Amino acid sequence: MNNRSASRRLPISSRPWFIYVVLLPVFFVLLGYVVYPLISIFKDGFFVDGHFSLDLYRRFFNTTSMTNLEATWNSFYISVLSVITCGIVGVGMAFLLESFEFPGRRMLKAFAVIPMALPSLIGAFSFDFLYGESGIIPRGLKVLFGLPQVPFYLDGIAGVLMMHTFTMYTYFYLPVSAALRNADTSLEEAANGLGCNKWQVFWRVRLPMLTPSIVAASMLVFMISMASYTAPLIYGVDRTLTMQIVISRTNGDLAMASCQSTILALISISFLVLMRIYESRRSYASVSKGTPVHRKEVKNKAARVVAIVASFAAVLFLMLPILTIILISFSVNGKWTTQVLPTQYTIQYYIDLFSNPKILAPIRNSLIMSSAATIGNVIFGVIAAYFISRRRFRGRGVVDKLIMLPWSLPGTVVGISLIAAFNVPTVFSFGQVFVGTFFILPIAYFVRHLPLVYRSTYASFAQTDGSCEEAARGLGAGWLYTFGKIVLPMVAGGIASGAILGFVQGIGEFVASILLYTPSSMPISVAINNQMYSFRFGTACAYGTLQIVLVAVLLLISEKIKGDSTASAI
Amino acid sequence: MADVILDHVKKTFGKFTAVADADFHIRSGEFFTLLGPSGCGKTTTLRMIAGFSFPSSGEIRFDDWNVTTLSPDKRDIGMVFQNYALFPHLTIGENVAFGLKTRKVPKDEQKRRVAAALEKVHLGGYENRKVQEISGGQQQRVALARALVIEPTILLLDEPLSNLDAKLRDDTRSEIKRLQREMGITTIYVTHDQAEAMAVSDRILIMKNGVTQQLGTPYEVYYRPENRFVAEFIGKHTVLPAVIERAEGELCTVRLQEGSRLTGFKKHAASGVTYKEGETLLVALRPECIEPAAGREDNLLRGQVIHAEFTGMSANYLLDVAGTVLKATFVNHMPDPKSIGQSYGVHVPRERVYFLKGEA
Repeated sequence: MNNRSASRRLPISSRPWFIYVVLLPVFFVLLGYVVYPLISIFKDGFFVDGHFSLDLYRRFFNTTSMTNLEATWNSFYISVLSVITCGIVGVGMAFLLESFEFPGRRMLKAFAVIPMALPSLIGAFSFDFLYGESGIIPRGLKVLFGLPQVPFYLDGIAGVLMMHTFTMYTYFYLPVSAALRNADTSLEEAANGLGCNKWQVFWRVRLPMLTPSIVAASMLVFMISMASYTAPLIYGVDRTLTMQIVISRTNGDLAMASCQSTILALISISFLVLMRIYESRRSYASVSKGTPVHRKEVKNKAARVVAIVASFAAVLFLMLPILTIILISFSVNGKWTTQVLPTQYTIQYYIDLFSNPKILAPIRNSLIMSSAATIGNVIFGVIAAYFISRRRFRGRGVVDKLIMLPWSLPGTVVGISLIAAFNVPTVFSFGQVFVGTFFILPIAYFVRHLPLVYRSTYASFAQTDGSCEEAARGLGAGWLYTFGKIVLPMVAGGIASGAILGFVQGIGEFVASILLYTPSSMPISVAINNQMYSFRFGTACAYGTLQIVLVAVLLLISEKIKGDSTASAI
Repeated sequence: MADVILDHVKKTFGKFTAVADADFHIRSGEFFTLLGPSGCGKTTTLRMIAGFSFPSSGEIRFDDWNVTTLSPDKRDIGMVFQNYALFPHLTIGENVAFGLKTRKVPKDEQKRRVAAALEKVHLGGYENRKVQEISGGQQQRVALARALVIEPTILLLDEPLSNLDAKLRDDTRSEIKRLQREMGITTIYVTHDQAEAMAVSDRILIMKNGVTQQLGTPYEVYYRPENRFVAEFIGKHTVLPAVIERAEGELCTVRLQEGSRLTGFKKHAASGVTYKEGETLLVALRPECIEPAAGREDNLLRGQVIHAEFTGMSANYLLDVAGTVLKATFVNHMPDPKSIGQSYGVHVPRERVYFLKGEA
């Protein structure tokens, strides 16, 4: 009857240490593939020829050769400018589409999220095809107006900014339009009733309610811009941190790459921490359910005509990159030189995609490696999410934060850290050298997309009712039966949509791939890059079209699953 | 059907004691209620009986069977959860059949028993509906059918009515009682609503801060509260401190703080009350025991009217008696709206005066 005899009879699964035994594989993976690689680059930055040294950091902060400091500064101010431009476009779009009713609104709204489906590398190339010095638009204008020179073209930092704005404004647009949709207009009416005029209502009520989403989006865009590699690569902006990391690595100076990666990782992680602190403080959950926003109808005839023309123009602008890729995928390699548009067309490259083994290999590689990483993510994500959402144990918060850590890490950092960790045999690689093998890329995809799959799974665990599990146990079902028949089916939607997102990212992944691929494991993105540099635009764009189609189909399936699972949640 | 015995059960979470010393015997076929405000330990106690958590010390037995640390799937219980916990991805029929499936009941018998169970809760023919398609009250009855179809040894109900609206709550309450009586199943019911507990229970265990306050029939806890908490929580007694003036024979006269005297019977008291002149005790008065003075001078209390309302069946008064708010309910009485702020006299019949032990 005393304390000890009762606890001695406890079933194994209720002993305090049981959870740690179950989570042992989770700890092993986190330690091996998230923590250890980061420690490796950190350590490598302080050792030269096996001796402790501050040489590398001295070189980094060297004020006579400013390369690294300049790169850091460039990365920083490009990111700040990206936040500003994305913010203006995203918030503006949200207000336009949520506050006004005009012809073309629904169409524009449907296309507003198109940039999210565009894989980064192919997106960057299409921008170059469209707006670069020899791009379709500048050349088209030159021919149309008989100009001696192209009237404009995108290059350098301006190009990077344009690219960032196009691909990242949705990070502002989506949360802000959601906030506007869910906003309680009765609050604005209340402010009106208390004597505020239109502008005061906007500044004192409406804007403060949007602040949380805007601040969160700003930090997100800043982090992603800091991590951006493809845009600087395509526009030839060498002096950014990501570019410098890859250049150091290409020059064989892994130690310097580690040092630069450490600094970039520190910046990214501090932003993650800042973001978390901010999110934990904000508390603008509206008290009331809210009355839906009334969109103001545009009635003026001329304004309606302008609205519909502008909407079409905007949709065209959003679709142009994809249309361009599709168009060029039919153009004959090497025949498109100084003309505005390609002149010779063929479907040969699509036939190649499915029949030429050399062309087919990268597609197969991407599918295999992405699937492998996704399967790993799902197994790991489900175990971790289940225990972290359903059990209380010491260290829960730490595990959660470690899983989310790779989310803030730039692809270049993940790539370099995996090289630093696995170019020697380790316990975590079972005594093998992973670098230069097929395994390293699936591992990179696994690490990069772990937070995505985990978050989505965790969210559906958090949304479903834990007492269902108890009800099943009470009705005589064992733990395993309950897990298979009740727990898993209830979160299947969340797992599937997380897995699809992870898989999609894997198909489009370029940044870590370019650092880690071997000829036998070359993925689609690297193949696109190589084909482009060999001026085989048709082949590259056929790959790109395939990528876009895959991504679009999978995202549609994911949306369908999400829609179904929200409909079935009580 | 089985007896449920809790033998000095204690549950702590770190330094926090959720259940201090639960020690009681629930008889086979009994409708037993755990009642108390939120955080009193009633749900923790129920979850230990179900096997969702295990006692820190002590023993739980079903008859002679020690189930203290047995996992819930081996206990043969039926449980209804506050939010019903119906499986959203299964049909109503599949929900009800779940417990039969785990018991490996043959398919055709499953079908028959599911149909019978749904019939019993007035949802015959609902087998193929989805959980999301039916109302909250119907979901509640599906949960009940799911718990009862397995003919469990013990039925556990965790605040099963708290998510229903008032009208539905009364209907479902009598429905639960009817089913329990028909099946003669040992039932343990958790609620924070004293009226609900009084209406359905054979016996009630009242808890506060993890400590058992009183165990008794509804009649006992209502008419013979053991302490101030039970008196205030169950009968809405007004509790007033008093000094014993005279204690002779079967009567006792006390003086309240504002000076008035009340006489009552010594036997109308909680256990442990001693009658020594000059000592203090507590007088507990239920609202409906108080009458308008109507000229009477004995057992008279005077106070200022703070509030008076007419509800149709009764008139409710709040009187300020020397700083304590006295609740009084009169039937067949119309309050005078001008009485607010006025002094008002009430009479307490001798046989309605109830004594509690004085507070240290």
